[in-house]
Amino acid sequence: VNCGKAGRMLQRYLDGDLSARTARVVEEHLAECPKCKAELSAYESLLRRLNSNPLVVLPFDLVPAVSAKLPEIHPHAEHHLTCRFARFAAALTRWISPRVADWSSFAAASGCTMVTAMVTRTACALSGVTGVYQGLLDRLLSLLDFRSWPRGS
Amino acid sequence: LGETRTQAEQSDADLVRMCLAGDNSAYDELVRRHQRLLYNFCYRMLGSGEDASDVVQEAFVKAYRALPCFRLDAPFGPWVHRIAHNLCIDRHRARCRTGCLSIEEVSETGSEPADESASPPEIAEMDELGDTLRQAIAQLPPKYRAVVIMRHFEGLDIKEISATLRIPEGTVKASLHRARRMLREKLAHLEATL
Repeated sequence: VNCGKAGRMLQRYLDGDLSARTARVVEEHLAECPKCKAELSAYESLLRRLNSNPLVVLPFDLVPAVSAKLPEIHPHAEHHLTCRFARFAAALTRWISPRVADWSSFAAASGCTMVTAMVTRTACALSGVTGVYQGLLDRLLSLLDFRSWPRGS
Repeated sequence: LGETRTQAEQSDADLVRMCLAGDNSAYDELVRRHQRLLYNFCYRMLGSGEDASDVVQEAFVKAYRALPCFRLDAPFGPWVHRIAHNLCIDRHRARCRTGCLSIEEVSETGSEPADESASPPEIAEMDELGDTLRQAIAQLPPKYRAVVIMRHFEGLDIKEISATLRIPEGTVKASLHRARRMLREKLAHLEATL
């Protein structure tokens, strides 16, 4: 292993992120290369400094300040629908992700489906099929119109 | 007092459940538990105590509003951490847009209150070492800074950082390595100019 390769592996070596065999190769290189050994010491010193930095003290207790800013309304009411939608989207993504190996093909297929839907819609409009759908839609809307519902006695 | 002790013994998920049931004092306990780590994270990210306490408060309010979205099987800490991280990034972008003090400038003028448990000579030594280190960290790009803070100041492992920031573990490792390399160069430069 040369210096360039060993240099790139030094941090992984310090993190214990190398296999036993690779770590041994790095150690063999370090034993005979003072330049890489100095670089390792520099990283060790940096890690010591980073890990020995104390936590900063809180200037004041933030509980009363946060408490005063909390909205009056209950959080449940405010975000209920958004959250249900977000959860549905997340579940859908989780379901789709392992089934889609190639996202570019997935995007292309989605695009094709959209184009097909638009072409079909235009074709329906030109051939007068829309009228049939319009009739069905009107029937459906009239069913949903509460004014047309039979009144109770 | 009995009620406080009971709340202190509850898990984060139980406190969230109590909060969703309308008990706001449970949320106070959640803030009490997580405020110090969150303040430390924001302080290191923004380099200013005032900005850090603003962002922490904002993060807790935002988390409260989004509490119904919180999955009770997930830990609360990393979730609120991610909210604070996003707010820090937003604030950093706003600073860059308005051309106000950069993070490096704020960090140079700000003084960090040391840990109360350290003795005065230790504090002096830590201040001297900490100042250059803080400046070097403040000069890192925010995405690298966040990873370094979480790994070395908060002691999170790669998996936890990956879950908190929602980035792959490989990306966390690569960012950490790049950040440390940059830190070494910046520290060498800063110490040479002293």
